[in-house]
Amino acid sequence: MSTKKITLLSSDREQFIVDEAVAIQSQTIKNLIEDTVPDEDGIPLPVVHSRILAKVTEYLTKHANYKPHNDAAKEELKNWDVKFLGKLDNNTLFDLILAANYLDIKGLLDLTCQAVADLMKGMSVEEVRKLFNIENDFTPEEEEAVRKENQWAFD
Amino acid sequence: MESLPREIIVNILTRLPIMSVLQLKKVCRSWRTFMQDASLSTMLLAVATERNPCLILHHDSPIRNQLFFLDDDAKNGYSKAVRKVSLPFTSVMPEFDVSGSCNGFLCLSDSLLAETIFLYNPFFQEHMELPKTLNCANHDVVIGFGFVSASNEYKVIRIVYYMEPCDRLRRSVYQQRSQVDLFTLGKDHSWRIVGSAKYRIHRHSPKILLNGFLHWVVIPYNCRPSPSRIILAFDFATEKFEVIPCPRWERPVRHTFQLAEIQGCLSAVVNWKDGSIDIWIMKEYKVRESWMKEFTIGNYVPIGLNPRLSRPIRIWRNGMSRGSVQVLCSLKCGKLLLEYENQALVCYDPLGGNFEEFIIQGLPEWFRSVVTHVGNLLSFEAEIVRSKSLSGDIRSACYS
Repeated sequence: MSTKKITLLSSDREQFIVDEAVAIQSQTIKNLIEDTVPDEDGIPLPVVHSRILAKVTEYLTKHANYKPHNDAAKEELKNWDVKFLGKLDNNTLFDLILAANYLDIKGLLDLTCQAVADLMKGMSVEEVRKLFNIENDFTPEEEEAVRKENQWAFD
Repeated sequence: MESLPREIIVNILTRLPIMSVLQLKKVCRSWRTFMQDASLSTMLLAVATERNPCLILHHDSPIRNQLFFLDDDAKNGYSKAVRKVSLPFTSVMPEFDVSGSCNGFLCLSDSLLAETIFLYNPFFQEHMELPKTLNCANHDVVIGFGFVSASNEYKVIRIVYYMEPCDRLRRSVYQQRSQVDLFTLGKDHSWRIVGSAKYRIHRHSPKILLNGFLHWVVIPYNCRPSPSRIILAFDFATEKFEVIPCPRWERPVRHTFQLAEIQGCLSAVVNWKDGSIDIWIMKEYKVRESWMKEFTIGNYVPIGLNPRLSRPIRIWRNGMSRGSVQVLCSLKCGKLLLEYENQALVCYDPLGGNFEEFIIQGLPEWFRSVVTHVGNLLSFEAEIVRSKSLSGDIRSACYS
């Protein structure tokens, strides 16, 4: 039995050919398939770069083919997710969040948001600034004022 | 973060323990504003039901009481150390009772006469004193705190019990009277009398806030000499009392029982003399038939218990007989959080029947009470504004 294939087109016009069952885990792609006449080259996803779309399809392929029926299978899938996240650098992680949000893939969005939350938990304020590429724009007086606001929690 | 859409940032922040969210105020100006944004707090409250509650432990050390905070990390469970909460009003009210916790706000009342009442959000560092009224030492005052979600109103109930001569001829014969007052945050400038209480609630009666109702265990007046307790509830929306049906006990419960919220349901906890406890759950609110005995927990003595601990005795307090084990809440993993002898926190797994004691750094030697708490960074002002806009909406809906 042959399954229907879907071609996805990244922002840099790279083609990704996946099973329909894999692709429609994304609500956005599902809607695009139903509502639009496809491009000759495939379904255009103009905000997702091929570097990120490769990761997205990797995730979707695993999760489409792997419907856990018991605790051991669920555990295996969880371990796979952990490994999947482990291979990502922080920039890719953020891009993946944006892609998951745009493509409306709840599982991937939850996974990546949780990963960022886990990263942030143990971080100092300075490390958080670095992670999000933020400059400290407080004056020393303001900084002192913020510290005083919740001194009991900060010390 | 500027490059990420707002809803994604909220998604990430709602996965953090409240202490971590608080730290983020120090990152930069825009983050400081964002952490105090009402929309973030609304989301934090919305996801709170999917997480384990944080805990506030009240240590009634003599002269100056203290509160300790135990944070919950949605993924790794409770933190391994408590933090002492700053109390900006201890010079005015050094000794207090924790009269309630709702949506991140605490209601604290002075433990002697309950004349002074403060609402306090420890994470926003904002406190508000409610108006005082003249009180008398032989009055007994019961304080409760609740929330009406439809109108977004926070209300404090105060029930004052006092003795009054029956009539002019028999001046030496006294009769107990009561008065029920309410204070709605942002609406009332003084206490509003709403009626009297038919039942005698003791100041330290077990109580629980659930579904917009505050529940107490009380003894009805007409049931002596063999009193069997009932569950009395105050509806903060209609501002009326009603009686909630009790379980059909398997064997008579002649002493008081505790109330708890387990799996979102009203629950009754019976402590037996042999140290075991029964937990009944009302699966369907206000439906007597839905009460089920769900758990029986055997006798357990935590290792950390200090049998020779001498706690200060409070002679002025109406000592309610209180079981040695309290059920604090149910955790999302299906376990129950228990408190033993005001000293130890224990996690009980009903599946395996095993107990796991919390080892927490900085835990006070004893605590008077433990309340479940939701951490948020809401200000009273933001909540009042929201409640006013809601009542505005209702008004315009009526005219249209």
